[in-house]
Amino acid sequence: MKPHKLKSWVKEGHMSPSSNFTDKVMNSLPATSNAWQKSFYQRMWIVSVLSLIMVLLSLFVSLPQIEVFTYSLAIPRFTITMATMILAAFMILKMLNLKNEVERFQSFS
Amino acid sequence: MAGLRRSDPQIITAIKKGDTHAYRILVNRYKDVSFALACTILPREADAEDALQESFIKAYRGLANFKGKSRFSTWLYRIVVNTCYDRKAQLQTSPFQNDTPSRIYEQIPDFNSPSSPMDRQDRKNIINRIMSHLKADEALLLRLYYLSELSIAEIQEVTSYKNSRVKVTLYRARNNFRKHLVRIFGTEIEHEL
Repeated sequence: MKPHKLKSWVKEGHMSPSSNFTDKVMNSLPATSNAWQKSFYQRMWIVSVLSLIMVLLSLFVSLPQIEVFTYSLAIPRFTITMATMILAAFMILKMLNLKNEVERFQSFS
Repeated sequence: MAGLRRSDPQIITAIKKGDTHAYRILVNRYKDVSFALACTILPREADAEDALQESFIKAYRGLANFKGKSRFSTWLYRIVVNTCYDRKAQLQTSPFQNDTPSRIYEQIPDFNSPSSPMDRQDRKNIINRIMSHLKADEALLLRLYYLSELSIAEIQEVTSYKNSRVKVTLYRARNNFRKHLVRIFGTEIEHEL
């Protein structure tokens, strides 16, 4: 028997899982999709950038040495403080939102 | 239907971009061959199907790390084989204890009798019984080589066997499979082929 003929014999013994197998697999896929991960990391990135800006602004407000620069830029100290607080609030909201997302994901998986 | 014509890398890219439903195409494309491989390792079809479902979920989870260095099918079959061996270890059963040498030739319709011609289903059942009668690694390699159409190098990747082991096992598997076929269908089959 030639080996290439064996192929057709082996192929004749093909098998199939149950008819609803694909649906079962699709229904049991984990809730996390790559898209979810992508958007999650994107938001994490935004939060990281916001934190960095906030740290820099805080430095402007708190360090007396840097105060020189704020005067030279003619930005009132009050404006910088307010901007820092608004950013902090926004960042806290973003982080809470991320926390909810993680909890939602954990409840699925 | 358009999705069926898409190549594996195209589908994987779509899934990575968030088109989860594209995974259905890959499942439909590889479920039959993967199921045959799973049944080679796990004798009960229910166990094989469970292990296969687990394998597809593992593959989906791992898609983000799939770099495409090998074909998707090779990568998937490796997951299937490993998952089935893990499941087999959990079940602690030998897949080839169920079909003893004496049983393999029982209840086979007469191939030469015109009154009871052998239909496709009969032949399929016989081939699968022969497969279950072969040694686990022989049946697995036979299916990987002929059914999954993998190269020797790809089989090495799936099974982690050395090149020489793959070749020797495949040689033995062919001989044993042929021996059983001739015993069931008669020596004339050798001239036909």
